[in-house]
Amino acid sequence: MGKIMNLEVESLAFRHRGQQEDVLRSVTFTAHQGDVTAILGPNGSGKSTLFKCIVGLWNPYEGEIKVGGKNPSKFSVRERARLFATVPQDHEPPFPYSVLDVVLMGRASYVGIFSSPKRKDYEAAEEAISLVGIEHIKDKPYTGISGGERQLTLIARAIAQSAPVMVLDEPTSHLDFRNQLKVLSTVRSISRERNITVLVTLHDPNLALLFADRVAILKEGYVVAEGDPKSVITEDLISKVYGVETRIISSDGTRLICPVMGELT
Amino acid sequence: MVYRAYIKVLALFLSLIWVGALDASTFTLTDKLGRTVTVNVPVKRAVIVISYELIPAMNLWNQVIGVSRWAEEHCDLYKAIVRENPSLRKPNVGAGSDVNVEAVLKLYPGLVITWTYNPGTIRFLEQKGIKVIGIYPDSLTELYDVMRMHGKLFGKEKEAEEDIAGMEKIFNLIKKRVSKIPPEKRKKAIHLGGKPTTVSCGVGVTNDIINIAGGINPAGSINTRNADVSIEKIIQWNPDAIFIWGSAGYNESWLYGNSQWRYIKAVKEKRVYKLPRWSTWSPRLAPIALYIAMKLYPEQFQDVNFEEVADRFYKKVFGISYYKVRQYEGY
Amino acid sequence: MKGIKALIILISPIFIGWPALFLGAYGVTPFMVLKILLNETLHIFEIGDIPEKAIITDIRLPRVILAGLVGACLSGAGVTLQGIFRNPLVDPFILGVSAGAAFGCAITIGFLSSFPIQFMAFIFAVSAVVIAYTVARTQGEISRLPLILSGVIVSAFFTALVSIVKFLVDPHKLQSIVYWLMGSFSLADWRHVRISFPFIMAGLVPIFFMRWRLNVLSMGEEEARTLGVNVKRDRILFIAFSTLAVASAVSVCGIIGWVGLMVPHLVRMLVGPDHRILLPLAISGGASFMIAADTLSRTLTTFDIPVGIITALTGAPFFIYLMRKGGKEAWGR
Repeated sequence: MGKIMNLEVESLAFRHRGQQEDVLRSVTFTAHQGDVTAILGPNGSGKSTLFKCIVGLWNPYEGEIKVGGKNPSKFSVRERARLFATVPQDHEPPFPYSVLDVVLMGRASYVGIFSSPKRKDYEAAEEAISLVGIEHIKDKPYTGISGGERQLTLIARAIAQSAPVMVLDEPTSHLDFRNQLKVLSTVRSISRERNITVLVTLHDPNLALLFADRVAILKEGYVVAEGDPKSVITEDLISKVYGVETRIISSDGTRLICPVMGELT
Repeated sequence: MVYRAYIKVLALFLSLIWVGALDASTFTLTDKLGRTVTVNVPVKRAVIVISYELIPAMNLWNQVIGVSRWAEEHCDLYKAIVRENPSLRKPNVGAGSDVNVEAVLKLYPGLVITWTYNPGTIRFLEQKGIKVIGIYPDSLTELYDVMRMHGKLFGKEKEAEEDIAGMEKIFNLIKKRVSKIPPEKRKKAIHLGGKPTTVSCGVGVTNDIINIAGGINPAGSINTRNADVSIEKIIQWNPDAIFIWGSAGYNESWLYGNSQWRYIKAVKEKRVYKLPRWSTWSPRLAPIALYIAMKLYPEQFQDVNFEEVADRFYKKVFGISYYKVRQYEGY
Repeated sequence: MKGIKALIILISPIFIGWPALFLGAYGVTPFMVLKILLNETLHIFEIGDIPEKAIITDIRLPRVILAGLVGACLSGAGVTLQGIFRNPLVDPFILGVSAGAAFGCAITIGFLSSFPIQFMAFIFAVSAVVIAYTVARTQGEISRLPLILSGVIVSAFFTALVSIVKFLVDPHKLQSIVYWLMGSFSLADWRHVRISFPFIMAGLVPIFFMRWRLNVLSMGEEEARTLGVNVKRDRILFIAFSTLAVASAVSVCGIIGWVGLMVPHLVRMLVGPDHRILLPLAISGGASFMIAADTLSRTLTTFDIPVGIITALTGAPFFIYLMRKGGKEAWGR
């Protein structure tokens, strides 16, 4: 039962006010429920812009976004938050809220303007915390934990939002090697467990190869390839999109991209 | 030998004349800020910022070339005289609290007499090469000193002494009548300033004239000019009479209408008086003292007509009738 | 431990305000104070019309209550604006409320003496914030930095106008204006309590109910929006309510600084940044602090020390001590 909550993006175009150049020219792809879909692309390809358009912070002037067949562009801020759970890049808030308090903020779209979170909100938050595996730090100040733990907290907050779509903006950019793997692995298991549609923007194609079910490659505002990472990410594509000579190597069924050092020097 | 003695006597005589001549042409004094100022006297071109009531009192019209705006806007005495005799009007150099230095410089004064409210202005004028004297009489004696100083500066020593004599006459009248009152029957009186809870304390001319008028200032033991006190303190003092500064923004009805003051004797017996809007740094301090004394001990002054006494005083000291000046009081 | 700290702060206004009724220049015995209070409330113990009664019921009681109200209001507004602007160094006057009130007072005392000062101060206080808000609107979007900047500009503008008025008026009115601006409770009476209470409540009560949203708003505008908060609407509401309360407070007692900056900060250091706890505790902490400062100001010496001096002198060193003790955690970084 329940609709299939796929995220469909069609012919999206966006430019900044007063600018002549489009940042996004015609972006089309679909992210399926239960899958982790990664958006890849070099700097300036429009990944962050696409992210902001999808969650409703910026307005595209052309094209359509649909979730479960419905267009959310006319939704109120509150309704949108019940649809899209956003995980931003890590940042330091001005005040040292506890991890639990931060996760609780995910319930904002369910709490009335003159109310405070109720028991069911606490339950959703606690559940999200245990799903992500951070119970041991739930009373610690958010500003006193490591970068990886902070990112996991933000993911827990997004889970507490109980939204069918979760969008993550380069969640690994400030993390160390181990935490990058931990965070993305958590994201993937959540997408399965909660059967939600996950969209992640990534800068490292290898991470997409390791964790994404589908991938959409962005270059200069267009989606130039879309599909299963194993078949889409080829040496040819990497060369075209990133301008780097690489070799795809395989180890125990895991595919990885290896840059050809000779060409670089 | 006689020749040498003669030279010595001549030298002595000449030096005495020289010293005498010097003495007659310069005057050195220490002002309220402790600055030593030497001035050529008599002063021919002075700017008077705050003690402008001394201009009519000592007939300084020909020697004063500028006054502060307050003389024209707030001094009924100055206004009355200048209205009668427009040629006497002086250019104004800005507000008393904020003298316009350029306006002062434009007049090329030989001396500026101002109050020490803003020492910065005094230093600034000094740097521009103008002689400045700062005053702030904190007692009756000091006021007399300031008046005498004005007399010396302008060569009007006689007029200064006459004015002081006129004031003393009124003070003596008061003292004669109130000295009869035994200490237990003396009335407590406070003087309120800009706010109803700001009282005049032990330092200042107001305290002196309350004492001359035979009153006791319960705030007199506080050793400052003014102090902000709580209403409780005033209730504790329970003064028999309350005098309000003539230029305060409120009057008796404010106190009568305010339930917090109702237990104070002065309020209960409706003995709250707003003083006339006169400067207290002026000979007019004497009639103000009389006013206070008459309100405190009316039975001692039954035969005294305040307005007549004031009129005589005005005519003698300022050369203008009290009734004429009073027309200009409401501003 | 934390719970006990919170409880103490919450009920502190009572155990600071209560002794304040017993202290004052006019010595009233504690027994008499109790008698008078019981007489007022329960109508027992016939007292008769004696000065002590006026002292307690007409002078001390309204003064303590007004000080508590104003302290609560300034501190509550301080917390709110610190949350909105995501900055613990913001005070409730940042959008121009105090400069507007100062101008309203100055122009009334100076030129429009037929109008009531409180009313004019209130009107101009609110207008200043409205102007600041309108000026900050660029392309229909209002963000923090333009809002703070326009608050600074509007404050500077009204302060300049006040200086002009001060320059033009005669010295006696000038003195009145200066006294008013200094801020004090020495003339506090029931009328002040009556006119300020409804507005302060109308401002603080809605903020109290909305306080959890300050947590979300303080994370950042974009983030709050993606979490489902209508940032534009909520921010206007918070600013409007706090302005209503602060304008009312300033119009009855003048401008008293430091409380709205320090107490929120102090309480946040003691109990954490969660506004559900922080706001009510800052409100009661502010009330206690102001009552204590005012009581000190009227009992330390024979004369009343301006309460703003007391708040600065007592608050600043304590603040420094807490900062040093707290070290890094004090700032939460």
